Amino acid sequence: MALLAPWFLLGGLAVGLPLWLHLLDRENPIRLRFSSLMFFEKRRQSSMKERRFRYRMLMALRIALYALLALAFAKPVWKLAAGAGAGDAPGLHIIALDTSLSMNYSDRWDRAVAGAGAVIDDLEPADKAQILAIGPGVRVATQAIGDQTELRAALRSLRPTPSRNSYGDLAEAVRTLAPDADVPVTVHLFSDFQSSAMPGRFSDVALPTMATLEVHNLAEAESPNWTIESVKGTTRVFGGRGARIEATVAGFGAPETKKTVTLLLNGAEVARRSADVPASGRASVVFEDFEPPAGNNRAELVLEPADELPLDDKRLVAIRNAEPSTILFVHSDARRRDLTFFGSALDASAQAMFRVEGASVTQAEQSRLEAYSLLILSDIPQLSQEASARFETYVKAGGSVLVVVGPKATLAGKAALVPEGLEEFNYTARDGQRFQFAGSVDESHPVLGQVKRFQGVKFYRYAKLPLGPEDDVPARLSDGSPLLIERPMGAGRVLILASSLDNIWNDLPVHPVFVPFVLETARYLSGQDQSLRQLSIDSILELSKGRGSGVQVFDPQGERALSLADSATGEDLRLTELGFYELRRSGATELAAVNPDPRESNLRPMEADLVSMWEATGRNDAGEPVEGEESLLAPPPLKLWKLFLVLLVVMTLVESVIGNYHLKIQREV
Amino acid sequence: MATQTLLDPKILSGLSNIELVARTVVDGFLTGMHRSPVFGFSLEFAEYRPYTPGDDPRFIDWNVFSRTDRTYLKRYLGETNTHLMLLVDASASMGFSSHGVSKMQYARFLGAALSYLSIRQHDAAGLIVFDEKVRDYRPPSTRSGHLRSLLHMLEHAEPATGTNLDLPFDHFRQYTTMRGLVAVISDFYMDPASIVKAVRPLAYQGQDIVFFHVLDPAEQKPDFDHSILLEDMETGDQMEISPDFARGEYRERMATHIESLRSEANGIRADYVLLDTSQPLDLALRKYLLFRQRRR
Repeated sequence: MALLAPWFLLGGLAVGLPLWLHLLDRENPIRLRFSSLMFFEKRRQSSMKERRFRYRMLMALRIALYALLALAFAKPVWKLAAGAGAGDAPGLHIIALDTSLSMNYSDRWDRAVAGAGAVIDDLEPADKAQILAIGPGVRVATQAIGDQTELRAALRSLRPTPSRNSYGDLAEAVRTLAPDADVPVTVHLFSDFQSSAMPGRFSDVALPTMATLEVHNLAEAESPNWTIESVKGTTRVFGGRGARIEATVAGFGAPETKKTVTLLLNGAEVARRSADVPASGRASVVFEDFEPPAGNNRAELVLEPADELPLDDKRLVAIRNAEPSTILFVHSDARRRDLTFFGSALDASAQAMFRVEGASVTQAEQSRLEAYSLLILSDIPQLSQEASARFETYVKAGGSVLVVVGPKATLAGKAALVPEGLEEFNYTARDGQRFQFAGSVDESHPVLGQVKRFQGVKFYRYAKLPLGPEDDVPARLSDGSPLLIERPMGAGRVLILASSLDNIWNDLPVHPVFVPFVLETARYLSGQDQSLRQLSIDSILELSKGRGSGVQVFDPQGERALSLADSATGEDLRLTELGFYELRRSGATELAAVNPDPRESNLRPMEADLVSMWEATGRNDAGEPVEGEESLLAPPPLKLWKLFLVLLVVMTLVESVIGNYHLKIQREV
Repeated sequence: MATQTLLDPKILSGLSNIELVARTVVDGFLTGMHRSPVFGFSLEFAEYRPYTPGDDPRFIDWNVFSRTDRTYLKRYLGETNTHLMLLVDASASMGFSSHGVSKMQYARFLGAALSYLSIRQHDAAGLIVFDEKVRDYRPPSTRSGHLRSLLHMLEHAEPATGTNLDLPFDHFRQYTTMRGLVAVISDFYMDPASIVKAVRPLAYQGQDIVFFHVLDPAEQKPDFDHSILLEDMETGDQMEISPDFARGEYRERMATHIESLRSEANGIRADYVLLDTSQPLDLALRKYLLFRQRRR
């Protein structure tokens, strides 16, 4: 018997209390010798012996009560020995197959299937098995069943995927499945034990004590592999400019070799380049001065000759050849300083695909707004009623507007498309060293990711922007005032900047961060998401952040990837196939290239010691399963304290009855 | 008064000389405490009876003969030709006391007083000390020194064991034929009917029987503040009783027992005297003697 809380046994000292009280009472009874008890009884008199017996029984009961109480609190458990043939007890066999991209290497998958089949063949009649596919995540192919035919059928239905896997996901799944099994659990893991699949913390892969891991390592002694690790360059061209792509070829565990990279554009070969890849090293090839056709282009970079893992020998890139988007910049500054600064910033970026068109208020009110990808209202106090309505319609239909607050707006106390008006503004002298810095900046916002928190930028003047119920404030000044507000309006959005762009209210235009701020603002508001050019498989396509809802997504097979309902609400989409996804919204089409995760290309296995450690979790030094409270190789310990509690209740009742009887006055009735 | 002070049982209990106590008790009382049905010489004329051959001719009334030529004998009340037989209960229960005087001590005083009274009046006195058997016996006698032996016997009578009235009365019937006064001094913790049954043969024999029922005030009216464990002095049995019972039903039972005993005694023309050991013995005895005197 073991005690889970032995310190509570100290409470057993309380048995001294009834012992002392009873002995005390026994020594000092109030007695009187009387001449005759003749008139005190007519029935049988209680004898001294009977009374003494009852008294002692009561004392014994009370002592036992205190002792039981202390023992119950000490939580005794009785560990039952495992019955004979415990090793032959029925068990649950979890057959986990690694279905990540690396399992496509050579004949790993075939060996995995064969090994899993052997496990199924060796199942005892009372055993059950469950098949899991690891990568992506954990997919349950079968429940815990004993039907071998069904198990084999499920096994045959599995295929390796182009996705990554994580052994942490497997451990999490086993921790969920094993406790419900009530039998010993053996996890048969068929995998190449790629080091990139190991989570950062070893504890994430620890299995519960009732589960033992059997490793079926399918990795070869040597598994050289090459891949196009990354592609960068110009993926958006216009105006006859040539595109430039630089591809990096990497070798993992591979000897020095010569590889050829072929660029295909819309299925047609454009160029070939050779690369001398050093042993386990990298080499780059450049494709430039090729003009992709107008519109969206599907570029493929193919590595040749193919190796044992062909799925990572190809890299997809979406290249767009289109006219730059036009931005309507409505200004009130006669010198057009803000327009100059903004346009220059866009021109400075080679990646910018924008053309800025400046206009006065009057001109803007007469323009066809739908022709522009983005509208900017820089220091505009108000628009005419009709123009204001047209601007609002533009935004609500999915368009975006950048509202910049300047001196004219603050003087008027209002700005166009800001119906609440401006509450106040702060004015500080430029030479008075009294200015605000950027305080809190949400760098996860697409506009603010490259602005380095506006470090060093001084804001001398700014407006106190009113906040609406749905407003988001991704940037604040050091005094807490909003610097940038994002306000949804129908299907579109309005971005409001509290300080001007004319290098008067602040010195932002003369800081290097001004260029990425302008560029990312333009891209974000116009819906040009550069990240769509190259995505990894299993990544999430955040459609809700796109430019309005109503986006339609088609998978590489041309099938709808989203239902109509999800399309309308802009649900996010997990990209589960390699190839080009097509996004259609607001009359525009964009391509998203989905490639394998480059980490899967590095086939370096886990250290043998690490695998051994993982296998040893739940086993002692002798390799036997660790006996634990929850070990299912032995019957669960009998919780004696529950029995003691029941006894305690019963004894309390008995003590009450006996005590009441003992103390009852002998009346002669 | 000094007499009453001496007669206070609490004070007398400190005196080791019982004879003195007895004498002290008796002083001041009237003599002639009993009437003997046996006629004998005395100064008080009782009646005439015709002479029959064999009678003592000294008692012939010659005056009546001269007037009537018939011979008649004068009969006188025999006040000195009777005897007293004391039956003193010395069972364990007689040792009970809730104050300075136990029932046994009280019984000794009473027995001594009655013995002294009898012998002083030239009546024979005898003593039987009993518990569940006859422990000691002195036949009635008027010889000198007999009182001392009776007092000695009383002084050494210690309470012990149980109570059995049958044996002493049987003994008395066997060894005593003369009619006289039989005084039973006891706490009478037994069934009244069984007491009378044991005594009845003596009543039929013509004995003058007096029951002196000696009780401690705590026995008549026990008063406890809390539950108490009582132990029977004769049987050793124990019982826990409540104060309410002691104040209520017990007293009723005791009163019923006393009344029953009194009634049974009346049924055999025996006297019953209830004596409280907290009351002075001289007052209790005086009261009884006056009652007997008025009744003769």
